[in-house]
Amino acid sequence: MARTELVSKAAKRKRAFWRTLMYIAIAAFFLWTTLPLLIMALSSIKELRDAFQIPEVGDWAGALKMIQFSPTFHHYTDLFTKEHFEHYILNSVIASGSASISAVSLGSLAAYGLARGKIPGEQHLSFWILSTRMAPVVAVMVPLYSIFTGLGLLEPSRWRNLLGLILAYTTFDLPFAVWFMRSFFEDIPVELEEAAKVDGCSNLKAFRKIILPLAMPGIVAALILCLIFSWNDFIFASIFGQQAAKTLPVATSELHSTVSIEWGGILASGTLLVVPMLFLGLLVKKYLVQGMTMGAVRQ
Amino acid sequence: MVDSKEKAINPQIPTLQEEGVAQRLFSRIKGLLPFHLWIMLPTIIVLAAITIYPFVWMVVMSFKETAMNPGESDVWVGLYNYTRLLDDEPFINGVKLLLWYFLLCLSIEMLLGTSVALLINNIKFENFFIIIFIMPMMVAPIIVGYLFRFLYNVSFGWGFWLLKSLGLMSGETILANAKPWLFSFFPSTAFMAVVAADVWEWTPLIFLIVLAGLKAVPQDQLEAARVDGAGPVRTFLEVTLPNIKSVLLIALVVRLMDNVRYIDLIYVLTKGGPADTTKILPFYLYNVSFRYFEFGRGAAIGFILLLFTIFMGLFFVNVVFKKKGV
Amino acid sequence: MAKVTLNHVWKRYGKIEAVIDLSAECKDREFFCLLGPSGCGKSSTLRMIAGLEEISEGEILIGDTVVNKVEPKDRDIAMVFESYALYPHKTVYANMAFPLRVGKRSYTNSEIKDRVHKAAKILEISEFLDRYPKQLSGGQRQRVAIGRAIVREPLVFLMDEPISHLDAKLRTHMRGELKHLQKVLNHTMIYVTHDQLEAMSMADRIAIMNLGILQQLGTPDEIFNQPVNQFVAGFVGDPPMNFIDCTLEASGDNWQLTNDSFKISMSPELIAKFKGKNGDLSSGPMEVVLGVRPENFIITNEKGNEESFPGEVYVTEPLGEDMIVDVTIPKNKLKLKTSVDLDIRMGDKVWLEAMKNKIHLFNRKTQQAYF
Repeated sequence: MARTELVSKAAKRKRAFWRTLMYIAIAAFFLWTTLPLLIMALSSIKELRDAFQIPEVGDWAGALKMIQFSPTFHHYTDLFTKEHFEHYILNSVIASGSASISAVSLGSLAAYGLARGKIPGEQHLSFWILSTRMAPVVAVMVPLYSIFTGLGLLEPSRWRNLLGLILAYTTFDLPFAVWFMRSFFEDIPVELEEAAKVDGCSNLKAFRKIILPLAMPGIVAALILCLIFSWNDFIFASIFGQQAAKTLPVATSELHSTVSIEWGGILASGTLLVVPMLFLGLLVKKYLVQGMTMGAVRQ
Repeated sequence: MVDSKEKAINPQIPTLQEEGVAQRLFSRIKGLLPFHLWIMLPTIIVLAAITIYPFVWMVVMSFKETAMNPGESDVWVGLYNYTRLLDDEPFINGVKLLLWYFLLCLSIEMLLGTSVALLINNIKFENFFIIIFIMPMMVAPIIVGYLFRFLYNVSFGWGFWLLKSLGLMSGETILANAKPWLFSFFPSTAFMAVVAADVWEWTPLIFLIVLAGLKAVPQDQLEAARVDGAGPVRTFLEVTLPNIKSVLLIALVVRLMDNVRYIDLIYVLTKGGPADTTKILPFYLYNVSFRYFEFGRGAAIGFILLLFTIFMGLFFVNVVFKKKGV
Repeated sequence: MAKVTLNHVWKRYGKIEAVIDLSAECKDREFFCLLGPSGCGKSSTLRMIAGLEEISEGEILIGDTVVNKVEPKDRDIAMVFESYALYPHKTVYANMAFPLRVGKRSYTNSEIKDRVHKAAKILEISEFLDRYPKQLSGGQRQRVAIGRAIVREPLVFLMDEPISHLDAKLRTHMRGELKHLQKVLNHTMIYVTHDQLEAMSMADRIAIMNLGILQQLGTPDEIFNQPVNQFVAGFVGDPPMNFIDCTLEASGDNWQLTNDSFKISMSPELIAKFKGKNGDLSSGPMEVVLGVRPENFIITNEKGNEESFPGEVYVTEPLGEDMIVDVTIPKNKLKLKTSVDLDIRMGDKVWLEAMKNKIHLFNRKTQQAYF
């Protein structure tokens, strides 16, 4: 019996065509995603005159100029020698670090309570918590400003300003932390803490000894995500920390004055701002979806 | 509570008599609330302290006209802050632009993100591509702003050069109040430039969410469709799409809420200009409150925006709880 | 070691009543089984004893102490969960040592070590002490869960379907092991299961529950041979008891159970038992249900005596030694258990006879048993 070709040549060719198209599409998106970052990183180690070199319109071969330069790091060193960026980096680290830690500590307790407690009106409570995050930042800024003024957090003192920023970031990271971690606690079987209670633990001890270690991946992920959110913030920092506790984003924006834009500094500082976040993002890659959707979608 | 009979069973358990006053007080207080409420209390207090006042302030302030000179006090104006919005040109412009912003950002991001997710799903080096593609999400919005501003620059921007070289641009600058080619009813090119930056940063999020949704499509349903003889398009429409519907919806709502929340990008890229063509409502609000210091009017606009996000949030919660089957 | 007493215990979840007015006592050092289908309230009962659920009404005593308000950690109980509930982040050793470390009584490290090793030896898991739960098989995990319970000497062991997730062979093995363990440790044990075989083979006494209500409390023998109602009769035994609707008529001293296919006369003893349970035929014939266990039929190829009745073989299921035979008679399908040697096939016509000293009779309305 002769074997019949089930797949005709035309069909094969058609499939090859679609496959090629697919790779072209992926390559295009790849370039779209990476080129801006690449240009930022490359330009930040070029002399300005090199960074400002672009070929004539339509001169495609001229695009090679992008990688023809002698690298220099003076934009980076300038940030520290001329601009005190070490202070601003420290401010950013302190503000986002402490805020993340406090948001996650408070948030993990609340998330656990929400995940386990059979509280009447639990849905309303969790919605209220969520709604505090959804509020448009600009809309609540003015009243927050007056609260912070009342608390003396806006006086030109580095530590007061930092405290204000920590407070602001904590309250805005907290709802996220609660919603995000809740799904982690819900994943831990109730029997484990019941077993712990029968074995002789109080509620708190069962939480500490059994639940907390098991939720650790979620807690660490929440911490890192909070860190990314507050590290990248600009609006809060520009209003509450402007006086004496400039963070890295604010300091970057100040390289852009009414008269000129210091592109060298901005690109260098931008790279400094972005690179650690890229690494952190890589660490929590598994939890990014869960994080950005407040735990609604699992990866 | 340990009761005295307990001692008979378990001699190591101290009875009430042996506990100190402090301990007794502690257990009395502890009994007031269930454990789960106790541990939620700190969060509730912090959130209440920092959100209730701004909310009340916003509502009250929206009925007042802010005093412009020191020594004067705010004046009650009733609903005037709301009614005046009806013929407040920049406000209406802001709403219109916000709707455009939603429409363009969300449609492009959803379409692009979903397509890329479908392309990437289950190919070789999938993980590598994911790592690369999520990078823009990690970049601070303000840096995205500067980066695109750098790329858009007329004299040294690679983006400008690329658009010109491809023949996609006729104008002299990107951040201009010109209409893009073809569609004269579209917002300005400057507006499109802001949208492009938003798309660059947030398409990865949609991509990632949809990819997660795709991974959750039951393998057996896909196999059944293949055995039944369905082609890729049909399989997508009848098996994949229904399965990722709720995920798409969540992605949509999350982006909607974030679009209202952040103004960093516009702050850096265009500051609302040129000629207010990128002054979407949240950014207009920023101007009203922080440049004109008209807190009353700002509060009214803020309140409207807040209502909008609360509405979106309710929708979000419903989708989430429905998905969970609560 | 202590007895456990339940006095008029209720459990309500909102409007749903999971346990209704349950009173029972598990004696000291007894192997006590709570048996019933899923949703019958047996797990809620166990969880109330453990302190994991609040008691809606009534009281529970462990020993002589009312424990309604005592927290689980202070009740001095040990529990094995259906899902085993092993702590995934702790080794087997740490899992077993955990109750000793966090409990009210304090143990020195060497005491803990001794106890864990002793328990591990009893359960034959000594070689796994350094592993993590996820590296163990289902059967091994189950042993660790038991090990975690027996390292202490609690007042009561509570077991919630501990072996229902094991495969059939291992389950049979563990039944024997658990029973042996309970006798060796000589502790009070309350064991929840939906598997009547487990209950019948292990328990000293069984409490059968259905829809939140205690149906019968007795030894396995009592439960099997003197079921108080149709539910108990039908729940215990595999294959379950056959129920045949029939009418009980009396003409003088001659009492007969009649049905489309048979007429069975009742012996004076059975009549006495019937009357002893307030059975009354003075107002005419009565609708009843005849209950016969599958093994209590005599099956023949020829008509044996007047009370044999015919049926057709629907299917045969040989099980090695025994054989289950489904026989159809008008209006009913019966399950019979016979020797596999009997030469019958699908479609054969056979004659059946119920062993009269083994039959049960139920009121069709109340479903209560007369005998």
